[in-house]
Amino acid sequence: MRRLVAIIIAAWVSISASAAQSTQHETLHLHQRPSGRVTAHFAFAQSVAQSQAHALDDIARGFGIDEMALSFTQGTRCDSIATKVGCRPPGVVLWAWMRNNHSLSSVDTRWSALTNALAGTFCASLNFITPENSAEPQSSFTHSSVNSSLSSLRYASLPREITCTENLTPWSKLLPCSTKVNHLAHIKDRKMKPYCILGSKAGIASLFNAYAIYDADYHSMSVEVSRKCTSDTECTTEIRQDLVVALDPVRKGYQRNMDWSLQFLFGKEVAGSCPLNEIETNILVTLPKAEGFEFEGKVKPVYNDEKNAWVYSLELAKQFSMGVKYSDSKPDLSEKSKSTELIQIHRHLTGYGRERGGIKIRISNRDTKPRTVTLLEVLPWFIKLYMHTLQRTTYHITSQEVLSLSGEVVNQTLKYQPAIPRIRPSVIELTATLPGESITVFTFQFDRAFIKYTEHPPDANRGFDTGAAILTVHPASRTEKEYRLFSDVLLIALPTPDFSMPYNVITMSCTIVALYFGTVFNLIVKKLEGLDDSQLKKKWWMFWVKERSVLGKK
Amino acid sequence: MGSLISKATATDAQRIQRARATLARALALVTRIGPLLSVFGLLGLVAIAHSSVSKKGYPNNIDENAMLPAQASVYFAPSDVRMLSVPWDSDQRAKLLLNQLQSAGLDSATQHVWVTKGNVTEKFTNVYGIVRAPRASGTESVLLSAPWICSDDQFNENGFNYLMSLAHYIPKFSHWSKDLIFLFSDGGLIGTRAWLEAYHGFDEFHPDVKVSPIVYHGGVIEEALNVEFPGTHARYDTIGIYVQGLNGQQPNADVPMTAAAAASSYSVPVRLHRSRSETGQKAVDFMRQLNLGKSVMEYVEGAVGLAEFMSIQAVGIPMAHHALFPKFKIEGVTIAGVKDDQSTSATIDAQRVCLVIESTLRSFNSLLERLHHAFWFYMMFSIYDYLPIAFYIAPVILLSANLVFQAFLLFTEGEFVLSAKELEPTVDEKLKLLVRPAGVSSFLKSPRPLQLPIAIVSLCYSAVWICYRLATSYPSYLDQPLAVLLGYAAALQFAVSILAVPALRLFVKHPESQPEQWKLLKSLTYSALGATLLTISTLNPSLSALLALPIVPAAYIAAKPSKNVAVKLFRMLLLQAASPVGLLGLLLLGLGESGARHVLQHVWMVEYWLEGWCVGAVVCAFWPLCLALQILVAGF
Repeated sequence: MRRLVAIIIAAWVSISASAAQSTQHETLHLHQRPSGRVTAHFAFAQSVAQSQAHALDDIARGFGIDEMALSFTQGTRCDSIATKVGCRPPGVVLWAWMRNNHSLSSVDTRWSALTNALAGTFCASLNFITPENSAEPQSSFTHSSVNSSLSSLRYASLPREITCTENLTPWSKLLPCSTKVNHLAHIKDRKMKPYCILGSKAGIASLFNAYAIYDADYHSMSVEVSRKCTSDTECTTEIRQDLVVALDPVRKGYQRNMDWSLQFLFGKEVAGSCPLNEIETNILVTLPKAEGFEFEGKVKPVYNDEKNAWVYSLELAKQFSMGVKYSDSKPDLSEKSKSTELIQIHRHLTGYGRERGGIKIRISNRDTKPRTVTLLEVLPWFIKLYMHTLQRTTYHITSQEVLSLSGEVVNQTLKYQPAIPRIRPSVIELTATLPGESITVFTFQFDRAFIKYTEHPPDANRGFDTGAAILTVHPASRTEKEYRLFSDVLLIALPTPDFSMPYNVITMSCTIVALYFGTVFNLIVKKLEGLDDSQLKKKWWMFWVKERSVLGKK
Repeated sequence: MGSLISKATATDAQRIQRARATLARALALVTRIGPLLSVFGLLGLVAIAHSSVSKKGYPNNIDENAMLPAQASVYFAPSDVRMLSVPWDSDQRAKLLLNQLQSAGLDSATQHVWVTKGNVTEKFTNVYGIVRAPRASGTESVLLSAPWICSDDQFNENGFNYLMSLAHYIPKFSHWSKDLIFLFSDGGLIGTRAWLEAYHGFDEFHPDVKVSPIVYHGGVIEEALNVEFPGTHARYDTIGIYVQGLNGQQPNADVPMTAAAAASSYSVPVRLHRSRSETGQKAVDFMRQLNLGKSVMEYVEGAVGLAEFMSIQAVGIPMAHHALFPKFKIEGVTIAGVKDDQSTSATIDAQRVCLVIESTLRSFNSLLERLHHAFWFYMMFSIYDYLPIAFYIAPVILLSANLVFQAFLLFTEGEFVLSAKELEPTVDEKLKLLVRPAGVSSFLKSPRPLQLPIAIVSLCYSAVWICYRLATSYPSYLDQPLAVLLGYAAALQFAVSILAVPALRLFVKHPESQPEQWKLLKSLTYSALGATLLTISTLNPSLSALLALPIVPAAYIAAKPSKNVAVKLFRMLLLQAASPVGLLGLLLLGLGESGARHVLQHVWMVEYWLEGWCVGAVVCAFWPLCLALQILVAGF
């Protein structure tokens, strides 16, 4: 035992010596709602100093990135209350602030290089982000720490990118305490070797069980990188990695009750805290009820009023497990559909058929105060927008009466970039003030382009996904922070040709070519001879042909 | 070399002459056998009813392999069945349903529909809930709907309970790739339509209907299943599958086949529709009495099935609520529980029905594209026998193809400067070349006096259209007995064709000396008629066949001038019998006053509330041409 303690102390000393200015910490917040759903938010933060090596720091440095956010998401049932990082739309969303003056190349070149680098890092098809689907929003991703006169913003989304274990593995490899031994291989200290094997499954990341987390109702894996420089040589890169998973013990269990445990939800336990953490690792648990439950497991949590959660502290090299058992474990499923968000966005398609269509965006403001929001809509070029059809109607939230807008509320600005086929998307950026307790509906119409048949995806009859609209809610007061909401992803079916047609055409044209070739070949090879009337005489067996020469009767 | 040139000239001349001869022969053939085409068409229609023609058995007919019909494991257990007593009062029912859907954890809401009929406004409430597919992006969905009143006018109590059981059961699984929308509709077809229109963003689709907006949306609705299980029986005998939609539009054939395959995998007997119509049953019973042998009876049953299918498609009246789906590109059928009056051994209970629905939903769920294989154009005379378009389209087109050929022939005959014979070249023996008559060149115009025929046809169109507008604007006129209405229509049609004669005489003083006038009128009418019937044949083949069957032979026999007044009258009456007036008379004879009125009211309802176009097409596109033919007989 003494030996183990000595090793651990040695490890601490060794790590703090080797990671001179780098810090890292991780937290797991488990938030259960009355419907029984448990949202697990794994938050990891690292600060990488100039002298340290990290794949994302390399990328940030190499492409002149001030700030970058990338998320891989699956599912739509996100609980905004339970996640501090906000809800993300299905698929991949990427945006980056990039330095304008960079020694290597222009912003656009670096943007496509960045997407390729990230594609390699995360094993995802991010290389499908091209200028054709990238936008430069003007007022949607403004951030205080980035000087917008020195940097440029690029934004793109791939709504159809499916996230899977092949993305989770490289993502978790970026964590200092991950699931594989070789991550700590840089620790050369001999004394550390036994600890390295121990620490290989350390920290909250040891709960990552692909079978469990990909069966979740909502799964969002994100990376945020921001790079701050105090001087030309003194830069630190802040890397935040968040994994939000909404698990449903009610669906998972045959008993259909709210009781859960880490073992039940993830099929795993936490293998002690990560030894690289500077501050102690906490597991926070927020429950829907104030009483009528008991915690399972050896360690009992402490309630923290400030965090409004039960807090567990992880210990080094000590297996940890916990669970909750309710005295009345019947879930309140009706709570699932109730939303408490003040501002909500909902977007859907209108119309039918494959020629025309429309989009309706409903933004409701339940706040009593008016709120200013910016709506960003990036639509692919094959959705041909008609801006004259853009309409706004504002209703009262309960009486459904149409409100006539006046005063400050009318304040509305619209920035529009028309699409260029195969070159850039349409971008609408609309800043508007929503009156208190109101629903504002924006509608516009479009035509569906008839695209080349090679531009259709292999499953052409499914349609094209269009990325979520982004609603940036600007702060109403100084204490508030700006935040973003993402709307639904839409599936737009374009006029689709019958793909078996080319094969018919090939067979047809082959036949025609064969016939033509036969005739021409015949003509070329055949010997032409002079007209001899005698040859044209009627054969004895051609009884139905009248006796005559070529040019009339003889 | 010289001989080469002469040979080339000779072959050219030969070719031209051969082409002309072929054309002349083809024209002669068309004139001779043209009328036979309709006969071939009719024979074709008779032939396709034979069971050896159709494809057999549904599993063989499912083109979309991704559907994996009846192959998924399903888990619906007897303990998942929830039976509630559904209140008959609209508000109470809506409250209960909403409460139930919410307690199942669905995003659920109500939609109010206000329908104004005359001065009375009725309020209906649709209730809907969405099961969000846990891991999907929510871009696609499947609709499960149940109307409160079934198509046989009974309350859909069991249907509501089955859907509610599924609404509680389905969220237990994470294998769903599409959102599942549960719709409990109220207010009949217009209630379902109101929900569908509002879901697709059309809140104001009808002047007499007001709707409240839809709050929750799933993705694009791709497939659907409408469920009708009337009453509170514990068990049913059979499941009836309804296919034909509004205006004769149909869902992709894979959908009914998949539902039938799912049913058969749980030994649930399925049939097309609830039961055979009374007239069809009478015909079958009559033939059965004749003791004609097994193979003949098999044919008779097939033929009756096909005739029923075609008559339902031709009228275009919705048989159940799935009929409204094709407009929105939703592929869906109705499955209805059938309880025979006499039966005592019904076996299909709630669990088996839900298993069938679950299995069908799993097939929809497996499909990650829209249905694009298989056919939207097919006929069925039972759920086992399936006729794709390749089998039936030829007979249907043959029925009216002759009209187009005749129109061409008449058009060539309708020129009045030179006859075809005058244009024929002669052979110059010396030059060994073909020589055209003097004054004839490739640029020669053959003037045709088309002004009058065009005027007549367009006046016919406008006259009928005005009558149609008047009739639809004052529907109270339709309350009179049908025989009287029929008399009015017949008299009006006859009077118009007689009254047109003096007006015609102003332009054509001596009709005998101007045969090109009637030939061109006939050509124009025939081409319009051919175009109308052939266009309809692609949209609603049954309607095209129904219209072509009487008018094509009638026009062949009667649409020509005659000096004899009696012959004229006979011909006019024959044409009248083949026009919509005659068809209406046939309907009245067949079904009697109340039956015919029921059909007409239904047609009227469909036309006014649901955008049916079958009657509009018959009246506005077909009737004027019958009138024009009658004018031809009367005026020349």
